[in-house]
Amino acid sequence: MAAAAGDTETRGTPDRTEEVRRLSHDVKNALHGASVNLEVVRSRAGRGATEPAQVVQFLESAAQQLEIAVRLHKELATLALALAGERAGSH
Amino acid sequence: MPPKSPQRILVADDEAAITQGLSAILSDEGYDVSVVGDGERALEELSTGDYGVVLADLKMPKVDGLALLEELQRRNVLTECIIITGQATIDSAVQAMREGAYDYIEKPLNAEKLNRLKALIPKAIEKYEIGQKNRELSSKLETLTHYGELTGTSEEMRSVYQIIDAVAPSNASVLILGESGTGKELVARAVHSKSHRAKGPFFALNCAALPKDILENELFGHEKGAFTGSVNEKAGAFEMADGGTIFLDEVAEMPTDIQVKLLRALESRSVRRLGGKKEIAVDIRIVAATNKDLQKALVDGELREDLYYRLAVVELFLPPLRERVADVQLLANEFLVRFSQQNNKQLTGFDDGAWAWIHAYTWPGNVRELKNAVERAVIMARGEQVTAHDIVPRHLRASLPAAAAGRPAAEPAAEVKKPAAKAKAKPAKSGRK
Repeated sequence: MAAAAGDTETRGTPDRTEEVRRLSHDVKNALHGASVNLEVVRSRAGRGATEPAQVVQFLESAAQQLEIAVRLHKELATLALALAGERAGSH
Repeated sequence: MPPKSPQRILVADDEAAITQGLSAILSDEGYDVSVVGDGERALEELSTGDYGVVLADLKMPKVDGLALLEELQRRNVLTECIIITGQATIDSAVQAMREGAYDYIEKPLNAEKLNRLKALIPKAIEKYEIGQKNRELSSKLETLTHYGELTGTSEEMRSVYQIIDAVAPSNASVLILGESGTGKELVARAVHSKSHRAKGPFFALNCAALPKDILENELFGHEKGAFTGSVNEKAGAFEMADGGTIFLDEVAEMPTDIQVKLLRALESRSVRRLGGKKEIAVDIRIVAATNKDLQKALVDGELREDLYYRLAVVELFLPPLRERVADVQLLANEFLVRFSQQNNKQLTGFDDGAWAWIHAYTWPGNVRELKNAVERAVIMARGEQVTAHDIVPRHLRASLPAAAAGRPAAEPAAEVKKPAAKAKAKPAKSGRK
């Protein structure tokens, strides 16, 4: 039975590793979206934009992306810590 | 620095938040920005519009950034591609650079990286514009040296192009006269492609290559049961080329009883299938060709005079290669490039000995012979250049030292000076292949 459990762990670890990799990529993507939209706000503010409509949409978009990044980051942290714990337990 | 006139940029990414921001940043810089959500749509957009730069995410649905790049190269689409990538795929980004990407930028695009992107784009556009100018110049050069599939800048060929330009828009039958290998079918195709029938079919038939019964069947078709073994009905060339052009090569070789049927079809603008009873109206243009001495063919009764007058509304004489020596070098170089590519050879050209022989030889088989000689030479060449030994046919090689010096023994250089009238009066029957 111990050997069977070991097999399950061996099979499960690559899947979780892949999930960690994917989540990291998604966090980075969300930060990327936030960064690009904030740059629009910064740039337009620097040019002396006078219409709120010129920046509001990008502020909202940046905020949404930051929320996504925080949520995904929490998922990532949970998964990454669990994976590290599993590996420590198997040694 | 904003460009003088809005340059078009395509952003290809499936993340709406990113495309929205990038689009705003680049529009603020004065660019005309379009956005697509995947690589497949990017390809569609790029094939219809001129974009100086494409900003493509490496990871995209359907066609990813790398596949997009490969497809752009394959389709020869002129644009500069900047790849945006996550750090985990840096190897792919390096591969993208190897496959022709202008540059790549890692995510996330912070202020520093966006400034780098803003600096990259005008340089990429400059490279795109240079490529665009190169294409325009190549295209202009192409029109100076080419006419459809025909190649040549000589006075003789310019006259041919002028006649094609004049006659193509009409419905007049054209009779092309010229030795074997001069490119009569290419002229016929040019007449078709420059006419209002260009979208219709082009149907070529060699009258000398087919036995009488088969030729008749090919031209007019047959009804089911018209002869033993005809289990199905079959449309002939006239029906299949309806709305287009029929090219009848070596028309003087056509048996005289078929000539009568051809004449009738041309005059009535209708055909009757073998074994058929009904007349089928057809709208076709006839372009015919012959390498025979027509006066002799008419006197000998090989070509009916009434058919000749019907076919030769416009006569077009295609000069033999020995009468357009100015084109020999152009043609030889073009064939060298074509066959080097086809055979994966890195040949830089012909050496002096090869050129001496090429210019001195009279090419009785005309452009076809030159083309075959260059293809063989490219295949046989061992060095970076084609030598006289590579290009001179085996049966003329005995005289190679003389040939390399510019005088092939079998076809003396003096032949090049043979008066055109003499050449016209005696078409080289032996030159046919």
